[in-house]
Amino acid sequence: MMDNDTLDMLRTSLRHVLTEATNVPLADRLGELGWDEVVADDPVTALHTLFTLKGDTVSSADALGPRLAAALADALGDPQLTTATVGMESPFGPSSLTDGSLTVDAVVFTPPSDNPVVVRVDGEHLAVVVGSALTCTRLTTTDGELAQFRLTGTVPASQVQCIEGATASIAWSAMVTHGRWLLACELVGIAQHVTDSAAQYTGERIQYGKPIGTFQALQHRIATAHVLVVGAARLAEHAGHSGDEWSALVAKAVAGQAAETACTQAQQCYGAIGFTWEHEFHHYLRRTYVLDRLLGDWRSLEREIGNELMNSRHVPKIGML
Amino acid sequence: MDLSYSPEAEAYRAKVRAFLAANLPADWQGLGALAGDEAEEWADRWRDVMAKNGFLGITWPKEYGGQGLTKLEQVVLGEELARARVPQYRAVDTTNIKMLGNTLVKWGTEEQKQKYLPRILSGEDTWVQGYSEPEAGSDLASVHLKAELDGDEWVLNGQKIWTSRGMEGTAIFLLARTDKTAAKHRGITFMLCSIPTPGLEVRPIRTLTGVEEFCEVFLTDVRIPVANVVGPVNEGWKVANSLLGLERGEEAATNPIYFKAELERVIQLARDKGRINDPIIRDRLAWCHMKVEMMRFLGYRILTAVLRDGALGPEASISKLFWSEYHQVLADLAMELLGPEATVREGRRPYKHYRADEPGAANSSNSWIDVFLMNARSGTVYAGTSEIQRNILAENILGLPKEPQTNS
Ligand SMILES: Cc1cc2nc3c(=O)[nH]c(=O)nc-3n(C[C@H](O)[C@H](O)[C@H](O)COP(=O)(O)OP(=O)(O)OC[C@H]3O[C@@H](n4cnc5c(N)ncnc54)[C@H](O)[C@@H]3O)c2cc1C
Repeated sequence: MMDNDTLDMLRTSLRHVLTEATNVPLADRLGELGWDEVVADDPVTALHTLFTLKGDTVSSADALGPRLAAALADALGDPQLTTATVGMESPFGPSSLTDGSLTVDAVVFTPPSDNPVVVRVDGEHLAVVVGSALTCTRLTTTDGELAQFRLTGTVPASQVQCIEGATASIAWSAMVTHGRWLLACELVGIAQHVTDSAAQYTGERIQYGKPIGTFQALQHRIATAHVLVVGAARLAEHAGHSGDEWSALVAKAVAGQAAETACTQAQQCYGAIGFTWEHEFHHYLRRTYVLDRLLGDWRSLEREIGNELMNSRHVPKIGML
Repeated sequence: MDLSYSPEAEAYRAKVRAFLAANLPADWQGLGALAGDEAEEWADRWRDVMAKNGFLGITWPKEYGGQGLTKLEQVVLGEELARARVPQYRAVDTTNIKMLGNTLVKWGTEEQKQKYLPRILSGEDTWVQGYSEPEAGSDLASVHLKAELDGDEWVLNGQKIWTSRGMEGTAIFLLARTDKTAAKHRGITFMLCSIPTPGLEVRPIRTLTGVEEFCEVFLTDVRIPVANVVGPVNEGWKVANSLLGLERGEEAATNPIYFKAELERVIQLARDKGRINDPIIRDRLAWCHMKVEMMRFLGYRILTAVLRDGALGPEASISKLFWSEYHQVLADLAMELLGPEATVREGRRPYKHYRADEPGAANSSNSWIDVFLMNARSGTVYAGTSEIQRNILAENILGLPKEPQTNS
């Protein structure tokens, strides 16, 4: 376990890495920090810290892609897949596998070049294909700064490695669980930042001769966001320690909702400036809506939670509850 | 509440319908069906057709290019245009015709009316609104823009901000501080200033959707002739406020029509996405439908009051709160239905940056992303924030004690 001083130092260096203006890939910059050792030593604290700070700084670096590949490689016991790119659900349609060929439609954060690409065909089939066999197009996204690429193409079956059955479904859901936890941390980082900034802004902005934070209408908005943010932060922390599917699902659902609520409340507190590039808020707002939609948005996760509760007729425990 | 229209109003309705039948293409779907640039061009052309046929500024006296009709006919015109899925005018005409034009009719000198009103209708002049300042938002009465009299000119120094479509403006109407010693509502004057004018600089501000629709306006020793003051000196607050009544009556009638068309688009989106049988979605759609119906009847109430008393009551705040907060829920629902599609921008963007996208718009992600990020969310900020509307309702209408800290 990391002690508090080490954690503070880690936070400072990670904040620097996430905010410096450079074209060097994040993985290389983390490498200079001895990141692999830090992760090997205390993976939960290290990753929690990285992703929360990534949300806090709205960094657009691709930290998630490599983690998804690592989780999948780990679950499949195939170290070669750590360099893979994992295809996310594409808004344009699914990937499909017929007798003769694989048709890919997936979204990724970094072009795969000639690394392997893993896509999910259905619950029981994953397909691995070399990235250079696919067409990679940059998407015009709502976020604008977070790069997203669409991978498309049809590849003959002979060039596709297929992973089937329970192996495929267990590995994919382990990857999803890992990803949901990290996204929950990132969304919590956003939600915290947005709530704190709104509190600061309302303390400084003067109207009617006093800080607008004096008006209880705004105090209540920020307090409403704060309650959700604190809850979401604890759930994300717990999801990291437990590593189980259910905790990650709940943590991601609550974090998405918390970030959305924080943005909605904050935007109203900012007034007109919140609709412009004159203030940093817009980055957080757009980022929230994109991250929330990765690996299940909060409303559909909420439905999943409801279905699970009704089907299993038992309430899974979270932590010590 | 009186829902019947006079025979004169119904006769006017028939006239509007005949005009629309003669001038709109048979397969007209609405401005939303046209691509971005095409929509801009069409709206510009349509405005000319409206102007030539006497359908702009219809309540203005005939000698200034109007038709001398009543507010009721204005409402009928608004309703028929909304039903026919055509805009009344260009997006920028909201500040041009609706705000400045109507203010001049009420407060302008004979010379001002003759000079400006016909040019507003012809589209020669385009006026934008210079009220807000960096330090004067909700507390608009604290405007600082300094105006000092020098002979027969006012000399202005200061800044305005959040001027919608400022880059399209050929002129700006301003609230300036002409008496620093008076109580804050009493030292303000309403003035007219053309663009360009020496010392006046307009700079665009990038909005969160990436579009440049706001501007800031800097004024350094800008000289404005005293003849450009509208209404009495130091009574600009009264002049500015009289606008509200003029605007809101007509809006009350047309809002429900536009929002109903928009809700129909969302219902179609739910169908397209295979979510129409989802009980949660059905519940939320039903909620939206009820709100739009309520909006219709709130609208009739306002309309009745405006037509009867010529002024707005507390309903103005109720209506503003009601539609703006409804619209955020509707936009949230649309974004949810889009799902992962909401992360990628596809299709055309909305023609205007307030309220619903134009009728006929496809359910593309770009239409909904912008409506969600900009149109719906800014609705609770511009024209009096939700907090300010609630303060008005609580303190002025319900008679609750004032919040201890407010000194306005
Ligand atoms: C899309 C858009 C278009 C606009 N177009 C124009 C234009 O063309 N011309 C123009 O002059 N202006 C324009 N504005 C500016 C608009 O009028 C202001 O944004 C509005 O008056 C609010 O002021 P503000 O943005 O400074 O927010 P602030 O007044 O700083 O408000 C920030 C927050 O404080 C709250 N608050 C303030 N006072 C109180 C109180 N007493 N009690 C409780 N809460 C309070 C507000 O509700 C808000 O939540 C536009 C704004 C938008 C968003």
